[in-house]
Amino acid sequence: MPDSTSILHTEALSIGYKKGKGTKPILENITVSIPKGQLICMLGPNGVGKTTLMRTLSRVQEPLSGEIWLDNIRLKEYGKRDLAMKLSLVLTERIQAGNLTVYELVSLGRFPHTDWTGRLKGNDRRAIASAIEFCHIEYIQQEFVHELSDGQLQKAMIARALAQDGELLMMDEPTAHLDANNRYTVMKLLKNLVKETGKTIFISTHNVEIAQRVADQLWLMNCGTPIKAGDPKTLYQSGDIQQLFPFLEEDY
Amino acid sequence: MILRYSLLAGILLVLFLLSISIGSVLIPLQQVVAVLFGGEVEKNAWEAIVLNFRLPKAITAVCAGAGLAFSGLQMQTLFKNPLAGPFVLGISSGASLGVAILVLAGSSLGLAFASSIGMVTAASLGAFLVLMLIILVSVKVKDGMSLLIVGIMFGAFTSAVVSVLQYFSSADKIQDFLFWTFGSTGNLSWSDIQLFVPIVMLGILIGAVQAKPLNALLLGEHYAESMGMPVRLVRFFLILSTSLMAGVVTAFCGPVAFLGLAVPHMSRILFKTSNHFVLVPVTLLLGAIVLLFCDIIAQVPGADFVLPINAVTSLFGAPVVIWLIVKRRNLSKSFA
Repeated sequence: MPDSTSILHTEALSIGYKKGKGTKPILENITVSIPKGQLICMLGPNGVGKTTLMRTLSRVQEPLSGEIWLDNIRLKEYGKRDLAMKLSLVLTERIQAGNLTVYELVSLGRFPHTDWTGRLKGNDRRAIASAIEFCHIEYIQQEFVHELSDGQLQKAMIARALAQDGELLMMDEPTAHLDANNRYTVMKLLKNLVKETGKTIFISTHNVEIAQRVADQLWLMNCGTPIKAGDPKTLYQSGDIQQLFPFLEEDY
Repeated sequence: MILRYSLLAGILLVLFLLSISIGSVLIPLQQVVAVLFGGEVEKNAWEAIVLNFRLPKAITAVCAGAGLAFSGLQMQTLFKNPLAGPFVLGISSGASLGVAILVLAGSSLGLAFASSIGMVTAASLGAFLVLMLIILVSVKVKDGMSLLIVGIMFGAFTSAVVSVLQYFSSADKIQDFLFWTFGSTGNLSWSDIQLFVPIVMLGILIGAVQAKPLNALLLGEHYAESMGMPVRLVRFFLILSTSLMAGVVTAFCGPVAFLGLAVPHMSRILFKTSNHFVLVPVTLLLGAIVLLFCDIIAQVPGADFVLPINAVTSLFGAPVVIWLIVKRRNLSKSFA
């Protein structure tokens, strides 16, 4: 059952796709919790269902069966706007906003908070400014999105999600398309965000080395086995991480 | 920014006065002003020409230009495609089909011949039908390129139907239809204006209150949804707004090509922004300016004939857009 220490909780959740009249389940009987104020990294091979799970947990697609609670309320009971105020997303898809400035992009995160005129009030401006500050992108806030490097763009997208001010941030592979240094910088940024803002960040990633070092909790996913959740140290000592990523053990 | 807005508004005002002053009959400017502001006018004919012909024509050009340009902006953002526009997606073709059925097949179906209300209804129905089909397809295929091809297919299909209708029609009816396709801003009487202007205004209003969702759509529908935007509802309003404007303009002025595609790009390039709170007013103003300007050229000042507006918009507009793109080197950067 949901409790006050977790921001998100699932009960006997089945995820997958509806195919004609039947269903094509990808993962079944998932019962997990995302604890508040932590950085959770979901690891697993391609095709295991990380994206499907994230889409289901963020209500982009419906679960096949089971229940999801977000902050002790059933996920399906949220209004669109209420959900947006609780949960912000960073997706992998490319955006087409070349002539927006970084500031305008981040301020789009205030969408659920402003009225139809989109006018930014004092608290909106404060939220935008602090999101920009947290992500260390003050120096590019007046630059156009098409002028940014991939790393800068990803930080701007994270700042946008932060400005949306949900308690829970979900990010689908936030370090894809980034070079080694930027992968490290972004993951460290997420770690600091959790520490400084108290928000919960849930990401999927293929970056097992960095994830091991920064995550408070890892979710290991493998075909045909239930999700193994735990802190990186325990999962390493039990050998679960090495089993999923054999290359970690190999010498070259 | 305010300086640029007032510059555009100033250009619009000058062009508006110019458009009323220029025509096949030479009327001195102070006489035009006298007519507009109720002064002493030398000839009664001048008053009649300005009030009953030139003024409605200029008003039509302003509204049609603004409406088409705004339609194009909405479709480009909705479909995330720089090639989108009312014409490209077959909305104007749908309107053409509606009018063709009315004009060419009208009498055989026992309908009254092409009354203006009938034309507007037929064109709007045609436009709305095609847009609804486009949206249905857009739910199925999701990617913009396929959708664009489907739009072109709709265009091909409707022109094929129009061809068949023409094949079985008499020469005078074909000529009526052909003249409609050339486009003209000069066919509207004051009673037409009373219908035309409110419908365009309604379309603009419905579209303008979507400026915030349009900005969210720049990030794609998934992001927009994640920010709490009711995507289906917004999509419906954008389509409603576009089909109202594109439909009514096409009905009264014919299928005016090019403008709906090009003006949004001109706005983005000139104002260097993707923010719809800026782009919407700029596109409206710029659309009105471009069509008024083309209309003045179409008058061929001094000559006693009028060129088809549809040809003029592309003749003079296409080089301008090419010049802008070459100057900025890359259009997709400002868009994507």
